[in-house]
Amino acid sequence: MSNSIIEIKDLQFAYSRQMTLQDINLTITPGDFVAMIGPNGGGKTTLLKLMVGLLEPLAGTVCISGQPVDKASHLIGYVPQDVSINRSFPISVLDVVLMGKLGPGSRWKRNRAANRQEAMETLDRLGMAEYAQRKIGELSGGERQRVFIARALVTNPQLLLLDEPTANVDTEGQAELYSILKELNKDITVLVVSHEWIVISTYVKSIACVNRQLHFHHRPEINAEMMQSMYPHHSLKEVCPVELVAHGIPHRVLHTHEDESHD
Amino acid sequence: MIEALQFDFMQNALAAGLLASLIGGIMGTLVIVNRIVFLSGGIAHASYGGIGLAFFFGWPFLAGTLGFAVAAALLMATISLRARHRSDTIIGVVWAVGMAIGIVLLDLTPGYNVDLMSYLFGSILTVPASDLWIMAALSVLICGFVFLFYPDILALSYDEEFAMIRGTPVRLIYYLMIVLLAVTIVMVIQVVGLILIIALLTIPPYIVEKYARSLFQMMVGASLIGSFFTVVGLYLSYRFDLTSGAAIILVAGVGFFAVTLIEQISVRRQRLETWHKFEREEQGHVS
Repeated sequence: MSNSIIEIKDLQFAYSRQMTLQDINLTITPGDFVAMIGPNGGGKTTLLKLMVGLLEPLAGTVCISGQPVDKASHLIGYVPQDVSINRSFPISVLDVVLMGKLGPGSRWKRNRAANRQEAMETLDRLGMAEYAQRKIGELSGGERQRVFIARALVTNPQLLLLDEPTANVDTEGQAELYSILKELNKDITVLVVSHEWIVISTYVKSIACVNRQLHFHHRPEINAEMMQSMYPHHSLKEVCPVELVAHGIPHRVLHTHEDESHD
Repeated sequence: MIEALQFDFMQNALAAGLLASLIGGIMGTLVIVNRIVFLSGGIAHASYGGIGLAFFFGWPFLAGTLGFAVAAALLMATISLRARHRSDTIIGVVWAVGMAIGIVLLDLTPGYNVDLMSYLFGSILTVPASDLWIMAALSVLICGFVFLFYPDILALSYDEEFAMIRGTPVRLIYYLMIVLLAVTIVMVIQVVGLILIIALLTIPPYIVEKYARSLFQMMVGASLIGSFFTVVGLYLSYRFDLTSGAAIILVAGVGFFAVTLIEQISVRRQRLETWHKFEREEQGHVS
């Protein structure tokens, strides 16, 4: 048995004529907090969908906790991109969270009271209990993300996968979300897809850079070489927005490649 | 209205209208939240091809239309699942081709021709009791489907990917829903016509959507509002001797625009109130 929570071997994937992902190898150990970063269209979301089994690789394998993905879905808590969800949908916050209790065969052994209680406790843990009866569309972007995290958590996952959780969230809310994730990371492995990658560097333990290929870095140092490999057509100044430095977030962008190899 | 109900045909028309409202409210809710209004229109129009087929080959009417509509619906649903960004085009093609097949086959059938107007607007005033029983059975079937699969339908409609990961048989339930939709459309078209079924599928659920707090509430609300439109429309058609299907649709249309207008006005009033309140507070600070 391996002691990896995610193990991807020689994975290849293409939607049509171009390779979307090639030669992907990735091993993530339990307890890690990984940020998956890279340019738009670089294959981040595709890789995430391969990890949860929504897509199948052309070649190679994806294992979650040593099992193939289709047998491991109960280990995964998934938080999809907010944009893909219909906001005017008539559904309460509590009912969204209860969706996490859905599973094969659960229809016949509905345990309503216990499920509701667990959903309420999870909402409470995320500071969202008072919103339980509100319609999901009435919440702000950050509040909605917490509800989706709660929905993922009631599945009791060992691995939490989030796709661009901060896309519709203001800067303050982003920091709150990441401290929630940091707290959750005490018990479970967390993997976040993001393109606002400089903001996350203070929270995560590892960074996976995805731009058709994958480079894994065990320490959250974003260096010039990483940026060059992902944004080859831009100079450093273009991809490193100065205002992020001004917000006082520890900024480790300029570590050189030599520094990393000495570690 | 009471006096009108002495007539058998009026009782039947009312029962047919109410059943159509119930079915339309439930299936229409699913159509609206899954954003398959265009697909429903495609099924409704393409099913005319089934009418042509049934007459041309002398098949039993229901077998021909149901078979054709379900096949066309599954074709459109499959293609739109595979290539989402192209689905509107494909539906448009099937929509048009299905209808053309129906018209040409009816041209080629000697003798009796189906009246296109009754296909469009139905003949709710001449509904035979047997059709009522079929619609009642269909209502039971649809209610059963929703009751059995409610959590899965909810998850599928709200967030298909999440439902898939949780192991919900998303594809199966989606196709079941499409088949039921096709059956609904065919059965209800016979009674109330193509245009009325599209109106009942879209207008009442849309009006209720903003106020409903759950899918179930939306279904109930849409069925009730649809019934109200039907009753009022039927009364007007009786009182002023109008085409009943069209009268019901116009009542629903007036309801739709009235609700939209009232919502606009109330939003504007809220904004003004917020501003006035702000001004009063400002003045309080000054004095």
